[in-house]
Order: sequence, then structure tokens, then C-alpha cells
Amino acid sequence: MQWCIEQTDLFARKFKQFRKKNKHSGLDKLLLNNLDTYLKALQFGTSPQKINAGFIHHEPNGVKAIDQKGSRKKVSGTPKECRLYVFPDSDGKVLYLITIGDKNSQKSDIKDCCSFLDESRKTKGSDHG
Amino acid sequence: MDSKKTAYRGVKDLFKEYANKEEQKEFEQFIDSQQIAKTLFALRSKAGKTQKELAEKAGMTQSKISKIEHAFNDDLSVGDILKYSSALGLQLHIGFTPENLALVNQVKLHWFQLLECLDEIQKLSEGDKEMETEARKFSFEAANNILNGLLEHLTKVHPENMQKPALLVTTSDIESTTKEDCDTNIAFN
Repeated sequence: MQWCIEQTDLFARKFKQFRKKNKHSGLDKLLLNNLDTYLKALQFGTSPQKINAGFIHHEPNGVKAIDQKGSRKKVSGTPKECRLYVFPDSDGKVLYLITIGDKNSQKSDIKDCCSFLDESRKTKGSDHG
Repeated sequence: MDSKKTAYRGVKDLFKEYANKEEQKEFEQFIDSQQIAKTLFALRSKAGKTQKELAEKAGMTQSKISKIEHAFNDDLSVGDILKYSSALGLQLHIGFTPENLALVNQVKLHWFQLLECLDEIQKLSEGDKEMETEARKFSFEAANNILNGLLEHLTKVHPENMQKPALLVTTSDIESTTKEDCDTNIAFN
């Protein structure tokens, strides 16, 4: 079974804003390129805990923050530190895109990730019970 | 904060929702231009090795490994890929197929390659009784797995026409297979 991607409403909204704000910078593509690398490693059947790279930051509760570093593709201006927060659900083989932000929004982004996970657990619990 | 129900097969698929056709095309080219490096990274991750460990085994520096894992296809040398894959205990195979080979033809190509490999195993085992038995067992095991895999696929794509596939050949069937069984071709009739 292959992994697939699902995005939250929050991600969809924030990613649109992010693209608008960083228009012509190419940052969105760098982030998605690193996401593609991460997804490829998952598709090879690797456990999320075993996937390590400079652009992957392991956050609490299994959340991963993927940044834009690594690619040799040139971007206009000085690249900002931005992060795409994901959660790999190994049981359902779904990579959830939770939110996107930068260094300044890091605290609230992680809080959003925790809320997403709590919500998911509740939904799963009610599905099973 | 409900997640949307749409499941995307990959990043390219997802980006279609945000970009126009021109931007999408440019993005796809960018993503494709690093596929070899991404495959190498995925293989290292699967092997559970760090860049440092791989560098030591490949006789390279860690920064060289990092460079390889972020390189564009055009910038990679066969030598580097060979060293990298060999340090992971993997063989490198290079094959050539016509450009834009349709998926159905890729299936046919793999099928013929598979048959060639099975024939080769039989030929190599000829003259050694023990090897002949093992080769024969393997052929049955391979046939079993391939047929079950195909039936599983058919069950997935045509669930209405298929019942759950039955195991065609059991392990004990394989164990008890004799040369005569193979010669008379009874196993699949």
C-alpha cells in the first residue's frame, strides 16, 4: 500500500497565504521538494523515525517539521527559515500536512499540530468505540 | 480542524491545486531533476545508516554524501552512484528503454525479463541434482507469488468480478514437487 498525502483546512489556507506572501521567491517549491524527498523515503517502507536529514526536524508526538534547506536551486533574496509541519500516520499510510509557518510562528504552529493530533485521536476513538 | 478528504498520490498531485499549468510544469521538472538523489536518500534511510556511517564505508566525506543526496540528475556521476550503492550493499543496474515507453509496455518488458531470469536459474542448475531441485522449488514459489499477486491486483480493480483469491500452490505442494510434476506440467492444469 502506497503512502498518500492529505492536507488540513488550516494547511490549505496558510499555504495559499504563504505563496502569496513569498511570491516569486520559490520557497514554496523548495519546501515541497523536500516534502517529496521525505515522502519517497516513506514509500520505500522506511519507518518515519528512521528518516533523518538536515531538513527534517523531529518535533514532539511524532510531528515532523520540514524546512527549505538543502536544494541547490537558487531562490531570490535571502531564504527565510520556513517550516512545513507534517504527521506521518504509519497505520493508515497517510502523510498529513498540518500547517506551515516560519520561525516566528513556531510556537503557535506546534500548538496547532497538537490540536490536530488530539482531534484525530478523538475521531479515531469514536470510530472504534 | 478537520482534514480534507482528498488523498493526493504525491506532491506533484497536491501542487496542481495551487498552481497554474505553467507553474505546475516548471515544478514537475524541478522535482524530477533530483529523482536519483532522492532514491539514494530513500535507500540510505531504509538501510538505517547515517551519512557519516555511509561516508566511512564508501570512502567519501560526509559532505560529499550530503552533496550527492541533493544533487541534480545531471550533476551526478556513475562513479559516485556506484560507490554510494555499493556502501549500502546494493548493486547498480542500468537499463535502456525507448523514450516514453508506455506503462503497459513496461509491464511486458518486466515480464520478459522475469522469464529470462527464471530460464537462467534453470540453466545454471543443470547437472547438479541438489541445485536442480532448489531451482525447481524456486520456480514454483515464484509462480505462486506472481499469480497470487496478480489475483490480488485483479480483486482490487475488479472486486465485483472476483472472489478472494485462493492460494494456488501451498508450501507443502512446493516441497513435494518432483521433476516429473514439472515435466508433465500438471501443476497449472
